[in-house]
Amino acid sequence: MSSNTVSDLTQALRRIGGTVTGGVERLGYMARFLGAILWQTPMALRRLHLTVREIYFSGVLSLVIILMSGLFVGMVLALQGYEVLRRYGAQEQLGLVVALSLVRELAPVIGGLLFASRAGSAITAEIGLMKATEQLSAMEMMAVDPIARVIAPRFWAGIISMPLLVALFSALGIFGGYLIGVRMIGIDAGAFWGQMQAGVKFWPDITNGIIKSIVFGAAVSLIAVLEGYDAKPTAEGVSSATTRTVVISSLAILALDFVLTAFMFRGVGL
Amino acid sequence: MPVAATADKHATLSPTRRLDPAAAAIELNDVWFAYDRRQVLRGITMTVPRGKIVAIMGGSGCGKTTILRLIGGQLKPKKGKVLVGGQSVPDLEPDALYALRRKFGMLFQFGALFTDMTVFENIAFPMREHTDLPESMIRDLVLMKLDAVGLRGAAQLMPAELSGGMGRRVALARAIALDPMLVMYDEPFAGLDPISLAVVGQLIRRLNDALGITSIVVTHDVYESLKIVDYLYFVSDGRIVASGTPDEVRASSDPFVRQFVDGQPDGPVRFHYPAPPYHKALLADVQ
Repeated sequence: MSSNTVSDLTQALRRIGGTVTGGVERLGYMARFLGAILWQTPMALRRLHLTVREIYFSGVLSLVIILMSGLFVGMVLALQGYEVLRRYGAQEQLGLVVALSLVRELAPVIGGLLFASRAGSAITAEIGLMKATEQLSAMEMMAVDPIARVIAPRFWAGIISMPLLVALFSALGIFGGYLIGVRMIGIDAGAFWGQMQAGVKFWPDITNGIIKSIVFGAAVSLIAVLEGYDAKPTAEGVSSATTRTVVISSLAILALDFVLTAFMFRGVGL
Repeated sequence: MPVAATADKHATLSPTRRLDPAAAAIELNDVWFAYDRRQVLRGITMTVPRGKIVAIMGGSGCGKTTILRLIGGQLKPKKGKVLVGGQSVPDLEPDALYALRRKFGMLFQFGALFTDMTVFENIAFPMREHTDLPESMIRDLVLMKLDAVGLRGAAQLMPAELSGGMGRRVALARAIALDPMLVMYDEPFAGLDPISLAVVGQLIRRLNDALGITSIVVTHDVYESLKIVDYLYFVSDGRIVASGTPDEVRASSDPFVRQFVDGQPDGPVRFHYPAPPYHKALLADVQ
């Protein structure tokens, strides 16, 4: 083996090692940051109005995109579902298919992705800009911990908002399915709602969806506040942090969805 | 901007001269600090007497703001002591550090006003965070502070609606909201028009005397500083290269002080960042 090849291999190993070490360090930093948020949570909850205000910014202002997306996803699901079910003469099951798809999977995942794009990016940009304009430093110098005053309320607002947004996504999606299935295609309304009522269980279907939405909300919120707090205090730094929030949150949602789904199916014996 | 080694040889203002430590509100002793591998401070020793205004002057990037951050406990020195009111700031536990910071006020270079709050709310912020005062009293106090900086009429404006000078004055009102024992000003004169500049300068002097506080002004505005401060330290390349009262500075023949005071392009402080000869760089490009 020539010395050049050995050198190339060493370089490659060093790069891989550096990436792995960097990733582990980042995870460790994230865990410590989460610990700091949880430590400051009682202080943040004492100023409940801050969390309520952030629920408005993260949750209420995300309503339009969540509701519209839910409606269209439900309508597409009904069209696609009807096409497949018809082949087996099971079109009466359309309500059940739409509801289960939404509640178990699509609402938490698509809702989470939309939440990351709309609210997560906004949280990162806001905190990053506060850092760039020394507002966080000013708070520290006024003996006010930014983790308690800025970070924790946004983190908890995300966790509270996500299940509510996901529930609305599911509701609008089911309504979209009803519009297409019953109103447009002409499936019997009694069959549509009856099959849904009989087939969708609170445990595990709805509960699993709620668990997923809480976990995704926590993941997106943690990534968003961390990236904002850790952003380089420049225009480029804030812009990169915002992009990272969307990319990392989206990948985290998809990976967590797989892990959670695997555990949940095992739990119900499937 | 590095200073040539000859600066100290001609100095008439001693860089190592110290004010009476017994009267010190703040004392830095042989403080060294580096951001990663970039050495910023190299053995800074200075004293800030109680009730006085002390200016820290020097070119951009010489470590002036770093000194403020060390005093405020936002950074820790690699070596040396930072004492505030006799307490070693780097050794304080977080709770004790936050308790100490309640006695501080800081004016940031660009104001650092909270952009989602009105002027009124910005000044009320430290009061609401640290006191249990009723809203009616907070209102009166905020209006008093705003009146002191001449902006009572701007109470309901948002920071985005203020000019640079107004923003700086609001930040000043916020810095003195809790009647601190120490106020640190980071470039209070930067980017101000001549009227705002004079107003802010007079405000710093007036507030210092009226409230009996100690002030540190980090700036590179020589003329305005000489009008209002009691003592000046000149920092270059992470070291204190000269210090003295405004009268001593005016009379000084120290090459660094003269270059800084007179705004000369040539002198101990090089204008150009170290680089190979210009003609060689141009020819290298052609080759």
